[in-house]
Amino acid sequence: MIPIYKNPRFWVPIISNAFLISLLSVFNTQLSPWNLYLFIPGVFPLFLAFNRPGASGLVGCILSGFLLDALFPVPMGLFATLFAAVHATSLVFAKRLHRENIVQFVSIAFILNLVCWGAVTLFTASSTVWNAQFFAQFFVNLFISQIVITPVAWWYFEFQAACLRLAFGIRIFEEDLT
Amino acid sequence: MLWKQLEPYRPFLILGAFVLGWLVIQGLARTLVRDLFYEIQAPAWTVSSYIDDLQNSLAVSATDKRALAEQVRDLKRLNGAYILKAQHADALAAEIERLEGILDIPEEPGFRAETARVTRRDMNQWWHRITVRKGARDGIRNGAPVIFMDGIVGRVVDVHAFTSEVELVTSPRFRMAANFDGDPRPVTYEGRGGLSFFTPQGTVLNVPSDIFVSDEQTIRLVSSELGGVFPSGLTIGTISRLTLGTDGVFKTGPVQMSKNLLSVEEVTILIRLSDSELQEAPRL
Repeated sequence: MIPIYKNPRFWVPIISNAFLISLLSVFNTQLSPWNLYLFIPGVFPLFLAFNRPGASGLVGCILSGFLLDALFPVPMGLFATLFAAVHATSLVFAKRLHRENIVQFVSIAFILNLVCWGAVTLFTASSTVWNAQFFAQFFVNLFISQIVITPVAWWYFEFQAACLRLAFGIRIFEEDLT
Repeated sequence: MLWKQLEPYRPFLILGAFVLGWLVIQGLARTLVRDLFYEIQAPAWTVSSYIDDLQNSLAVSATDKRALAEQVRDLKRLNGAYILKAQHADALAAEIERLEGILDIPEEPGFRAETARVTRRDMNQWWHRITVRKGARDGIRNGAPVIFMDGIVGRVVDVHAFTSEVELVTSPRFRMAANFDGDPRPVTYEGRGGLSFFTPQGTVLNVPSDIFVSDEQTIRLVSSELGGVFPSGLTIGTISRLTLGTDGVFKTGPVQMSKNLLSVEEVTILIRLSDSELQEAPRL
């Protein structure tokens, strides 16, 4: 049995997550003159959670979480823990989840994004800054992010699947789940 | 043998080892993991920043010669004005030094200026941060003040090998000592974030009640040396409204910040000089 880090397929979703994080950073830099912010961490763990139910998926989720933890001034391990929890939850609901069902995938990304917004607000913003101005900006940015996450999640799932297919010539849905 | 003797205390030993491990290893691991994952991603923003620079230079090279000649003419005029100002500043610095000698006042701290390009801007309700293309390798230190053409940008909060993170003056996590232009009494400044599509704001607290402002008579809020980070006299923002606080003694009011803060592309990081460096370098 080869270690998971030696399996190149294990790295594809993580590298694509790093790519999307960089892309969003560039996009947010362009949006900053309008004081707008796109924050969609809900899309990062889903491909791994849906398609890699074993240890490799869990490690991938944690590594993707660490990428975000390093980038933002949040308590270290916040996203890693959240993404690991998403992976664990996906195992519980494995029988109800259909990997081909893109609507289900996008809906979960939508809900998970809301959870991430709540977690970041609870763990980073002190209650002294929870004023009307804070919540006004919070809801504008949340509204834009939730609108954007729908097409992005759909595209991103297809993108990651296509990356795996092109790199290794496999269809992800036929992969061995062990 | 010893282990058997310690058997009754085993739960306590395990607990002690766990606490020790948590305090030492966890802190170390956290720092290492954060640094590692940050440095892995940093080249991506640096590359995108260089691509931006390339786009700008291509745009300049595409500009027609007449427009370029006009720009050069304007820059020459500006250069002339700045040479005069630099001479005046030199004369003032010499005068300050002379007065410091006469009055035996301790010397003001000197700074070295390091110009850096902005690679990433993160402006949201939780934090206002920028990443700049200079890091520990260029001598940047944690807590260093950062300025730009309109005044204060913020302070360095995280230094990495080739990049640094700067907390902006508008960030809800930012707080500093300040005073009004021409009034030495200290006040407190706090960042307040801002509304989407609007210029970010700050708040000034603990303002003496004998200070009055209006839309016609605005007042400039400047940095104070009391905080020990910023040199005095740098612009933070302007105030056009003050209201008496709930304590009935001090006033508070919103601070209008520069709109350019949201699209800042180049900043200057001030690095405090050590005593030996101070003797050699010209004072800023």
